[in-house]
Amino acid sequence: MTQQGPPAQVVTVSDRAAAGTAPDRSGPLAVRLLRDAGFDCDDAVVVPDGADTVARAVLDACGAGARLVVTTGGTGIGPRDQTPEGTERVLTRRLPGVMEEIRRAATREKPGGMLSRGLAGVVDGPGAATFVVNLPGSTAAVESAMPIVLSVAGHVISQLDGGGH
Amino acid sequence: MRSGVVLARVTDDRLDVATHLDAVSNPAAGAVTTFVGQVRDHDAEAPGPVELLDYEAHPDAQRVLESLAARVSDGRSVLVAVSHRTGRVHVGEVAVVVVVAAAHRDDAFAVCRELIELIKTDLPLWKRQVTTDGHSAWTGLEGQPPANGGSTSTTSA
Repeated sequence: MTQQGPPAQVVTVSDRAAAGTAPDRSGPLAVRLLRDAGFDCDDAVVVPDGADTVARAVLDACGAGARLVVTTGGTGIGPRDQTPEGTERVLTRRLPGVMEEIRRAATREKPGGMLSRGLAGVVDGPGAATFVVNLPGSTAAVESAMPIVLSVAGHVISQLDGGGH
Repeated sequence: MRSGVVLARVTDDRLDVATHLDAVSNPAAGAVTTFVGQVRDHDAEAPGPVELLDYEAHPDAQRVLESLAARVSDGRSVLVAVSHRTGRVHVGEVAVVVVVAAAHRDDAFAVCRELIELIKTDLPLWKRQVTTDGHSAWTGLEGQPPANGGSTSTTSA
């Protein structure tokens, strides 16, 4: 019997997916990749674009015990793209290197990869701290970024719990 | 006297006690109690001096505040005005105001006290404590919302 990994939560940020006028493809993809990597991951939560909705969804996930929260969508420069603004409100410490690598990998595939404004960092709370990463909303971006997130996620969570280097 | 909740707000705006006093102004009121909760510079759980608190409201917060205010006024002849701040509230700034007017002081004191205690336990707000050295952490979820994000026990479906 395999041991269940740490809890993770995916938050899909999309007006259209929240309204049901477009299917959410990137969220379920991120969920599948997290489950494949051994995380205990519920189905994606879908929220409309906006700093408030993102901040609350991330805090909700942290409060429910998630150790890793991956958001997808709302990181670009469109008028409704507010995921970084909402995430900035809840992060207590930034991990810029994670996004530097995600953007570097995405840009090798398409120049548009450098336009993601996503953030990565930590939400410290009264209980266990949570690793939070903003990914763009395309499935290609999720495919490209998830291996990078997963390459450090276990180490981040272990460090947050006071583990050694 | 006319009774009920005249003002209940979860807001980013700076709070002003006078607005609340005006809201409950009534010729039949012989007693007005006020409770002002402000951000203090120290906390047992903080690693150092506190600089500010950053409140993030759960989507249910406004509805829950209205329902808590209605619950304490129910069956009593009181007027209630209550507001809770969200966003960044610095030391010395007002985070919550409760003002209650009643014909007599017993009701005014009792309802004011009951409402602030209910806000502390039941209003779903997240609170981030930022200390002067830059350390910050989200502290206990006041009025912790249910994990499914649905309605709370204070509201009916």
